[in-house]
Amino acid sequence: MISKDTRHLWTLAGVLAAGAIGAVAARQLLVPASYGTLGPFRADHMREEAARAATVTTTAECVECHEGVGKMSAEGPHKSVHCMNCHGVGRAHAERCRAAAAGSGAETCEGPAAVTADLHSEKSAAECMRCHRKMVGRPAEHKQVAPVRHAEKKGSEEPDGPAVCAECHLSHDPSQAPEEQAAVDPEASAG
Amino acid sequence: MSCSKDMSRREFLWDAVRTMTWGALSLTCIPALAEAAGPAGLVQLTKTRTKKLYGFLVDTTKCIGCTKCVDACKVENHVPDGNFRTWVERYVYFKDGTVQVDMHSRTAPYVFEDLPPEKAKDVVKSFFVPKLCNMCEDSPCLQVCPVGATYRTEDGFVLVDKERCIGCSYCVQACPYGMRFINKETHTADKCTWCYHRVQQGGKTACAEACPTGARLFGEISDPESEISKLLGEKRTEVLKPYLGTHPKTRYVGLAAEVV
Repeated sequence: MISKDTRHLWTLAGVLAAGAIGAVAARQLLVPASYGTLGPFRADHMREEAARAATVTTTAECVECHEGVGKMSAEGPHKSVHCMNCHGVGRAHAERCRAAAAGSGAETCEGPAAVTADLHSEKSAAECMRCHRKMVGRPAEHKQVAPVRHAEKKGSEEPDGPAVCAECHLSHDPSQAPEEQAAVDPEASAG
Repeated sequence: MSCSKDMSRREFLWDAVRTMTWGALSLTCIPALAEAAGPAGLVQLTKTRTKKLYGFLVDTTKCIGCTKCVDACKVENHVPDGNFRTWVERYVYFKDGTVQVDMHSRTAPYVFEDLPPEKAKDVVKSFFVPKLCNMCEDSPCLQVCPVGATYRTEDGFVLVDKERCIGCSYCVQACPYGMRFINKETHTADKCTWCYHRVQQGGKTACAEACPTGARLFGEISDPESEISKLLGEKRTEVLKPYLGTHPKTRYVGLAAEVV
């Protein structure tokens, strides 16, 4: 016959054991597997984040195909300007062209059809003005113009038109006249 | 040990001697314990670094306020409208000694407003200051996270695990640079990551990639031959709010006392 006191002790031991098993099970369920392996955080997040696909394209990627225009830009005053600054991110375009080059995509990468939603190639004065509008804050040595007044002074017929800058300046190399572009890289300038 | 009220002075003194002896003996064990912990011991963890270390150098004298960096960041990191992982501030000093600070519009295109002509004529100097995560070595945001959602990687990036974040906003308040916000789509804390994913894939941050003037320079500071290491060696650089002891890794050229 077990005494009353001993039974109490066994009950207590049972409760504690059940609690411990419950706690271990709950921990297994609630704490992610990689938590604590590298520190007090979920190490898998670091791997997930590192594997996230990059979106913004680099100039190096663009000039893989657009060689001529890349060379022209690299030699002019716009050498530090990146393709994406004026043309948009163009990730979808770049991937499509890669797939086309590898023969794995059904799409071709030629002509205006290759221009995707995240890419544009219109000669937009608004894009030029993002950098060159005369503005308080810009360093004095950076070239700036008061948009309409400058175009008027230079005799533009449509000084507030959407493509007014391109009337006189070649965007890829502003030191040259606009006619030069076609001679360098007609394919790239069209697409 | 006697605890009775009528403890004699002799008993009390013997107790005191015993307590102090055992206390002193137990303290001598600590160095032995640390040694036993081996290379992963407390002392070595803080100093040994085998991973690459990165830095960010912002040259405010080169920034033209085109906000192409903001565009790039928004696209790269799917930052919701109204929030910014990086932004550009403008500091304008007037003849009467006042300073005006503003930022670009909160919606695309992120342009600065023109000053009214009567104010513009009194401008003494003005410049832009791009802001991004400082990747502090002693980050307040990391210290306050109650659930281990914010952490620092071995190569010094402070990241947020949105699966663990409970959106308590403690870190948003703790960051002295206002870098953090609650993402209204995920309802978790969000911040600039120095484009951790791009860097791990061998690239640089989207903002540095987009900067047409070289005002934003990202690079490896553990490589003495990198462009950033050379520039950090040449130029006199500063950090934001150095008095807070956060030890930022984003360094600036051309700051002014008014820039915070």
